[in-house]
Amino acid sequence: MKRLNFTFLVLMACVLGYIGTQVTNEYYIGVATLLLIHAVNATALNILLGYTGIISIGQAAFFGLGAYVAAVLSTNYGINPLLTMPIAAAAAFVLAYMVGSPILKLHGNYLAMATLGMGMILYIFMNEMDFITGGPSGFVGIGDIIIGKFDLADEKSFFVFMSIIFMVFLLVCELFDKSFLHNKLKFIKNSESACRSYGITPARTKVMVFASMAALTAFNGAIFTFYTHFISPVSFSFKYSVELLAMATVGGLGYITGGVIGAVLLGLVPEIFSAFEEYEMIIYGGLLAVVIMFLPGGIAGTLKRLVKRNA
Amino acid sequence: MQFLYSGLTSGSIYGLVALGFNIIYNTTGLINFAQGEFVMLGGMLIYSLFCVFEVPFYTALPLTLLGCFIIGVLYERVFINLARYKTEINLVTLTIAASIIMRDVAMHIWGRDSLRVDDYIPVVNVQMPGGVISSQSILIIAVSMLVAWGLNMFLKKSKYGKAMRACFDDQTAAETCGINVRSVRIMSFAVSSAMAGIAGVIISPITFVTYDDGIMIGLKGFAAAILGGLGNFWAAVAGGLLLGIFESFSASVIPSGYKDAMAFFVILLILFLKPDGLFGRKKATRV
Amino acid sequence: MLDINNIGVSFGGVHALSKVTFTMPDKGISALIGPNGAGKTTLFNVITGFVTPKEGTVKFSGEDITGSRSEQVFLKGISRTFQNLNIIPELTLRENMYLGFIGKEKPSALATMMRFNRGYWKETTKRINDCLDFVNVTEYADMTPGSVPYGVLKNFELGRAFMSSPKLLLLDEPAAGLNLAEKENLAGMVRKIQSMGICILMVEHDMQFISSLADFVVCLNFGQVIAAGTYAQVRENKDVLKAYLGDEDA
Repeated sequence: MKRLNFTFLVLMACVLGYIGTQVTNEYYIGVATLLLIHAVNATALNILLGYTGIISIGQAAFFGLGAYVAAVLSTNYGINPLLTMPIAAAAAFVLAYMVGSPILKLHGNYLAMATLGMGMILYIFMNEMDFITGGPSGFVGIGDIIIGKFDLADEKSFFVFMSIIFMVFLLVCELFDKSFLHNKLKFIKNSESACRSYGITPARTKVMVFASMAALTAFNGAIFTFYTHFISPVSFSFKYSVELLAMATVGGLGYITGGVIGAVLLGLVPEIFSAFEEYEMIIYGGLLAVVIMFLPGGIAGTLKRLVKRNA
Repeated sequence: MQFLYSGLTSGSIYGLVALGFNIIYNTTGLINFAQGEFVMLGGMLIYSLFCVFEVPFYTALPLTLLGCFIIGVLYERVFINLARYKTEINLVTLTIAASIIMRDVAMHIWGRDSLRVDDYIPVVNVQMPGGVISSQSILIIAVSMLVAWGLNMFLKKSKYGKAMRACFDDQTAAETCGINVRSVRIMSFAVSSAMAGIAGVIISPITFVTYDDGIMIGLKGFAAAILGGLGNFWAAVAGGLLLGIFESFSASVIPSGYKDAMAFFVILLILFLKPDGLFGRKKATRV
Repeated sequence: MLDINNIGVSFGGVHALSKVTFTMPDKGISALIGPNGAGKTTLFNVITGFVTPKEGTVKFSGEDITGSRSEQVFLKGISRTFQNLNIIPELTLRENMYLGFIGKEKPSALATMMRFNRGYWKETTKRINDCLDFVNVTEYADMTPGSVPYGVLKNFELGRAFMSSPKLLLLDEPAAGLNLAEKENLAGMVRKIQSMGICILMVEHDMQFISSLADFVVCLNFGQVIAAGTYAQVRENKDVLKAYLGDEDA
């Protein structure tokens, strides 16, 4: 049994604790909250692509699906925001299961196109079904998460809430990373024929992973809704899927730390260089290409190799 | 009948894109994500040459195709050839990265607006049984069929074409028989890029051309290829036509905003019911 | 144990196997020999469900398994090794060994992921270690396959297939690429596995290796059975000599 990467967990907890207690600038706290949300999404994609070998470029759609389900249910039907999150996750799970089960049985190649298609379709639906979603102008008037007597209306309290969720998520991911389940997924990623001759049905496991990660992303989307109080289709376009792909890949596919590193790095850059936005997609595309061509482990993988070499 | 005519027009474009997918899939086993971007580039290049620099059409067309051809070669050299770890998932991700880069470079060169390409032939509406069809549509259908036929001839008769077909069947065997698989791979990227370029050229007077056209047209071309069955030449054309007709008929039933969703439903439906495509044949898998 | 009846397979126009029929004895070690391209690995693929035969049946312990999916064949008690090893490069050998364990037990996702289920973790770890010990690869257990000698990987592959405690073990060229000492070591291991009551069918080229191990030998050529029997019988068979040495010697 491998040991958990406690250094990383403790480090993350310290950083979050520092931001939560010492930083007073609301804007910075807001940025940090968004980075955490990106990190969860990027890690979910990392588990798909880096661990199981499923390429999905429709993650933004699941994120958006979760956001819209939570927004509509809480605003139009008055359901408690906390309750809408699992509902959003369940909706994404069902959708991903239905889309995934015919496609994942086939060649891995197809999935990229199919998830792209699904992302585009959901995006079209978000824009066109304006009687529910508010169309391109967005959905307004979303309430706050209220836990007991805490109303998570201000930046700080929401950051604390998100940090707790994030740390729990990270712990679960670490447990997963050092578990037998992780081995099983790597087998599926690398050799389907070996898996099948050892009694594993790759398609079934892949569908489950795909649907679970969709559910996780949608859950995260629901959190995002209650953080921003305003959502519009633009946040869930193809562009965001590509950003997630770049985050996961640059950070390091197949490493839990990878998704976090990638999300923080690529999420911070546009904050620091405002001119960056103009060339954002070219830079994402270029980084993606360079990392895949020359550094398949991304930043996390390269760091790990360096540490190993010096140890 | 009107729907049939408009369906055939868009369908023949999908067919051309599907053929491009097919060529690359057969020689490399890859789904080339940037296929739609090649179409967009074809439209953009002809816009620049024909409408901005006012090069006569008969010079502009070959130049455009040559441009697409060269971009195809570069694309293979840079993105596919340089990759150190050529696993399937890496290469697919690379083509995604390439498509993003191409799209955004195009955005910086040509801007975000839809660009109107002048008509190549005078626009007249021809009265046909049950509806009208414009001369542009006739041009599109005729050119695509001609290109498909020409490609078929190229594959059957020319040396490169034969080498490519050998690679379709069995790459290792082709390599042992002295076929230069590397140059076949480059060639297949170049040819499919040029074909996408033709599609871009003939369609841009009708639909105009925008930097982000590539995603949707690529997706629909892929749907057409899946519908017909990947790896099958004429099936791709048939798949494209069927998809076009299906799409234009469905547009009469559902609101036009959802029209683009149809292609995706086709993909899912086909994958559910007949994963090898309507006309596909099963390829043996290696263990 | 294994009844192969009239199996025919063709790829395109090539008949990879035609009318292959033989019965494997209920215990002991059997070997499948034949020149390259004779269809040995194809027959393995038919048995393990990777290739569906055009005609004929495969029966395992009297049960028809023709056309079953590979996963089901495995669950019925047939494990196999691969010519190209199929060891995942990014995992250590210890982690790779887990593959032999997971398919049979079908643990829940939670059990494999969370550490609350100590019993499962302890037992799994112990069994993996035992098996690594059994095939003498313990000292390489925490290395990735890239940095381990080929012979060790071959042993490992055998161990992994054995770990799933099958009734029948299919070995695809277990001795290929090994030196003499490694072969002897391997032969000892195969015998040990066989003495535990596991039936073994192997594809092999090395005649010496077979002669010391196999009780029953089937020779394939051009997709057809040309001889079957004990090693001595098969070796004396005219067709076998012809297939291996060419026409002029016959």
